[in-house]
Amino acid sequence: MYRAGKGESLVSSNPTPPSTGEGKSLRVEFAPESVSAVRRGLQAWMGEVDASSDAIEDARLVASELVTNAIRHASPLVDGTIEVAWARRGGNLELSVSDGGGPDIPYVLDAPLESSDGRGLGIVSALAERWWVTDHCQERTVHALLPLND
Amino acid sequence: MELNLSYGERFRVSTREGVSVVQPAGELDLSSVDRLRECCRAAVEASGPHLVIDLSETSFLDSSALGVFVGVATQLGADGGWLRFAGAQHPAVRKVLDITQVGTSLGNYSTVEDALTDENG
Repeated sequence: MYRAGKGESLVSSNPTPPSTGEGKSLRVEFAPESVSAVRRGLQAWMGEVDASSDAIEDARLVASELVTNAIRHASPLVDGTIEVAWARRGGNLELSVSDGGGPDIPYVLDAPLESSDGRGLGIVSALAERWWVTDHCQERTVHALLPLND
Repeated sequence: MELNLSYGERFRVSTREGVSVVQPAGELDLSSVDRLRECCRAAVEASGPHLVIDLSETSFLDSSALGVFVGVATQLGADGGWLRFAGAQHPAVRKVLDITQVGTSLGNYSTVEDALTDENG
């Protein structure tokens, strides 16, 4: 696996191996309203698997940032949607957001304090154990590994 | 004087001691940014370049909504004013303000009163 450090981003040419354990995958519209829909779906699932409330809050925020980035900086998948998937990986949650890719590989900006943009992946970086990017055919997926319980 | 503008159910704008106080309720994300920006602009037009964002009713805030506040704060700073946060209660909201350091940078006060009466900055 690759780890993307501050100011860099690594793209793996291999798709992520299938996850073990239960999870969920959904396609949402390429629209701002999808951001809260994903938060709600993820929160419901994490509640079912008895994730801690801190873990749920962090995952909601990371999901929000990844879906927002897809809508703001990338194009949709060929069917016009974004695919969001999550699954248990050991004691962690792997969250993946796939879009049709954009002009830039996602990376953490060192946003100045007065900048109104560029904080999304900084937040992901602070909350996730790690995050990484995979490209597969015409899809780009940003993955984040998060704790299920603190 | 009380000035109350209603933007759907989400934003309440009032005036206290001549300063506009915007109180967004619920979750703020990409779907809220246009209305949030419009609301801040209307508040500044009504009361001048000082703005308190009362986060006591805000249960979620991500970087897109935070970006609106930072953009407004930068503009107000250039006009000799400020934007300050007050009353952040929800752990998720406090966490975002901390991680991004925007809370420290703009000012993150326990109450609206504290934000209004701080003579520094």
